[in-house]
Amino acid sequence: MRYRIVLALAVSVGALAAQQLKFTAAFEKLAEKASETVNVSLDPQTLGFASKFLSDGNKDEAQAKKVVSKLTGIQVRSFEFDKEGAYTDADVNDIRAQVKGPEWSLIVSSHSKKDRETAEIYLHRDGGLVIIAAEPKELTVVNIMGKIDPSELRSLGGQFGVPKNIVPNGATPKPSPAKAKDKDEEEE
Amino acid sequence: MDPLENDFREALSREPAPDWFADRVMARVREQKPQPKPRLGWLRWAAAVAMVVMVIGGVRFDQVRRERSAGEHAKQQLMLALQVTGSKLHMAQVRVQSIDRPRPE
Repeated sequence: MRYRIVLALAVSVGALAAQQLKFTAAFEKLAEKASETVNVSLDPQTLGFASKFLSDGNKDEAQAKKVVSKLTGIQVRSFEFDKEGAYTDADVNDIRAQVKGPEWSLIVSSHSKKDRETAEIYLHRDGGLVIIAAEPKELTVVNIMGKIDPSELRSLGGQFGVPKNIVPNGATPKPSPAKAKDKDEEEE
Repeated sequence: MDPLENDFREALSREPAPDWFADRVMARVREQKPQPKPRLGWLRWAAAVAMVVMVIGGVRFDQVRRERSAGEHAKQQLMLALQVTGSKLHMAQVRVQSIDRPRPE
């Protein structure tokens, strides 16, 4: 029995570590150049604690509580700069390199040469999610760890600005990047 | 000797108490019932218990206040994280939809 508990703990800790992005010191230093920064790191304890304060009477909070109950961590880094060129491709590539493994699937990838905007969404096979959104004056990385699947993403639809059909019905992440919904907008 | 001084001396001269004095005093003492001592024991205990309850209540109140404050902060952080996530998912969707949409000729 004790062996099973230890094994289950080891597996869950391993799964959490596999989904968790590690932000380099150089990446964190972007905050010094940013005019506005959002830095949120919620571990399982803090998430559980926060969810206790989500009201069941409030529709948004009740839905968030349901989704959060399966999460094991959230990390958000968002930097808004006054000038362009405050961050480099290397900063973004450090993050991309961490979601290159077969356990990660690129489900949405959008690049606009015209607006110089990039949006990428990666799903982990165990349920984690990574969003990379890069604009000329803004860089955002969201890392959600835990058991969030596309249907749960849909259940957040219409709330917190999450679009209702961000993931189409029936979609499940495949470990092959070739199946990703990858769109490259070309400038005319 | 001055007659006035003589009068004073006579008036203030020491005289032994009459024989009946001691008996009467002792009789009066015996007549008086012993007064019960005020029983303040329970009052002291009540005050002590009230003090302990107030101290424990104050500490607990402070703990709850701090916990609530930390919880509200964590909730704000969570809501902020969900809002950022939502806005970036929205941005991705708008971008994909704009690509899917046929362009006017």
